[in-house]
Amino acid sequence: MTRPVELRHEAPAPTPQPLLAVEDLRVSFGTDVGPVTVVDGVTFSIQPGETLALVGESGSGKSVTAMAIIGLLRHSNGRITGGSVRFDGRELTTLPEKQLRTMRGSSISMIFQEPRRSLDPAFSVGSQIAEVAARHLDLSRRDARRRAIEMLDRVGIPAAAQRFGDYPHEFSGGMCQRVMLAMALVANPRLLIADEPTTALDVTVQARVLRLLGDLQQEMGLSILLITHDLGVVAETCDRVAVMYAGQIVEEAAAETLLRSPRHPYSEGLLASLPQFLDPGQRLVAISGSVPIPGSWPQGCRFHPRCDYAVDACREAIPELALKVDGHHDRCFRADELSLPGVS
Amino acid sequence: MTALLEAQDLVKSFGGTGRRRADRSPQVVKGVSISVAKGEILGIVGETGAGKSTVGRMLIRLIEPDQGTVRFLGEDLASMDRHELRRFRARARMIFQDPFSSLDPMMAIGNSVAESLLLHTDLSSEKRQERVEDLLERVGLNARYYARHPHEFSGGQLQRVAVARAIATNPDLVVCDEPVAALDMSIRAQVINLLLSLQSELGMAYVFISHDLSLVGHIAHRTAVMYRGAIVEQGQTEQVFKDPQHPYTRELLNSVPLLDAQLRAARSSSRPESARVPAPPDEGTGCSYVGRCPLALPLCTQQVPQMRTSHGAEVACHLYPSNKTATS
Repeated sequence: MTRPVELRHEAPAPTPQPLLAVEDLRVSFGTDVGPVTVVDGVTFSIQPGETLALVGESGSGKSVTAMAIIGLLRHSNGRITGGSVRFDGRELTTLPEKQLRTMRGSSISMIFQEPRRSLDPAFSVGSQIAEVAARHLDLSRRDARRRAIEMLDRVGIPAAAQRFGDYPHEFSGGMCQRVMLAMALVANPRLLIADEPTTALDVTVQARVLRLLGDLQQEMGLSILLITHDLGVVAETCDRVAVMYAGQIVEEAAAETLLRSPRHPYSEGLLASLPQFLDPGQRLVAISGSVPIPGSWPQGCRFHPRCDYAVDACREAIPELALKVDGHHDRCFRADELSLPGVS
Repeated sequence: MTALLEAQDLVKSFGGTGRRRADRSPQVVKGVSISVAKGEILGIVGETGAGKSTVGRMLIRLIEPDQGTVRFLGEDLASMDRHELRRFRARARMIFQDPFSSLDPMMAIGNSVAESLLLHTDLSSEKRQERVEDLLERVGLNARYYARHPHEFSGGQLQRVAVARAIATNPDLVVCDEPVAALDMSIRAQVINLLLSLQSELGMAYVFISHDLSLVGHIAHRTAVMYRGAIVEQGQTEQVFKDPQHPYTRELLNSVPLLDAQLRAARSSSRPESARVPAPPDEGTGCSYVGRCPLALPLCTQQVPQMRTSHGAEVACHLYPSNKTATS
């Protein structure tokens, strides 16, 4: 039995192919004053079974990036103006709508912040899940129904068979998010894009839904792109994290690494501004200024007007997102000389 | 400490027109007693539907309680006449979550701030304008923004306007209902710092309502934890956060996502099996938390626990021996 093992060792280690590879993605939206760039050269990849967090504030372009990946921009006035999105080696940006529709749900699924708004109030939750199952798994009505009940059970809905016919308004917010998860995962997708999936939920419900998401990921070998603004959620659930600011990724690293030793002043500022338990009356460390809106991004490094460490070079050119230390990308001219504090 | 505001046994129900329970309007607040001292920051935490905002609004008589009393410096709000109530309104103010909907979109922000001066003071119009410009500067805005309208501002800037409006009349108390929940991460700390520095300069008391435990842990002197319409625990913030007594307080604190890997590892052993859906709330006669409580006793399903003192905090839980003086 040792032989095949040895043979495998002799072969050159294959570089794992990422499940999703986004490269230099650019998205702009048509406005009254002409096209405005919202996503400006975003590059990242996700390995099978991995969870990547995309962190940023409103207007950073994180949700638009997700919409572009899954091809939902075609229904807005947004347009992919450059770059590529490869899923399992297959280019998605040029894929005809019909093929893309087949992929959505069966290969890539998405859940949103407001589960109730993503469910149709006029149909029972069971029938909505069964519809997805029937379409993508080519099941009969009866089998689709069985599969939907199985899925409801799997996401922890008690008495799943009885609740099959209930309508979205009969579920609480947390339960609706579980229903959404059941629908998103019923056709065994390989990538789940979760856009602020627990932001609208209470903290105890959030803890349960995140735990469930982790369990399902393990069972199904899912890759997850988690879009969030909550660094605590990142710390609890993600393998890697990419921080977005003004349409660009400014830092990317393993979650633990980035939280402990951030290399971009924006990431550092975000971490420092979080209130710590039991520090009553202490001023928080605030980032000055406000998030620039798309279309009025500053020259040079987009964070420089708010950055305590900015020097002349930062006002003149945009730093590249570069790999400078092991597995840690940053977009800052001064990252090497600054030694920024993270979570202790 | 003198009580600035004291509420006793507040009860409130809404509606009763729901299709399913036409005959029964559920109580949103079930007997809340709470007090705020001068210059104190009182945090109220709890989840959606716990009744935090309803309590906050009853404290300044934006809604009338069905039962119970609120006293401001000893005076019962319910017995105030129109003039007294107006004077009270100048001294007890409110900041809401969403400044886009709490400010009139058609009104220049300077005028929004000036409005409360117009109502509550007899300043001349020049003096009013001066005072508004002063207030705008004080909350970190440019006095030249006076004539601008809400749509010209970001959420963080507008919340500063709302703060200026709240403090315009030199109030004794400001009820802040999720004042930073709608703001971006990098803006929250700015607004919190503004609230903290104004509080230490002007000596106001805040009732700070939030679902964000870390934030309340950071700024409140005392904290009250609400669950399904009742306060289940209250005490000094440090006491409540470091040594929580009520099982619900523990669950809440255990649910907060933690940045620190060591803290996370330390508590993962004490965490309940979280993927499970908790049992639906029991509408019976006992403790409202009994269905979710890992430590429930038979007594918990039969009797609503009264407030008692344990480890320096007030806690409504049968796990602790009751004492008669706790609620006085």
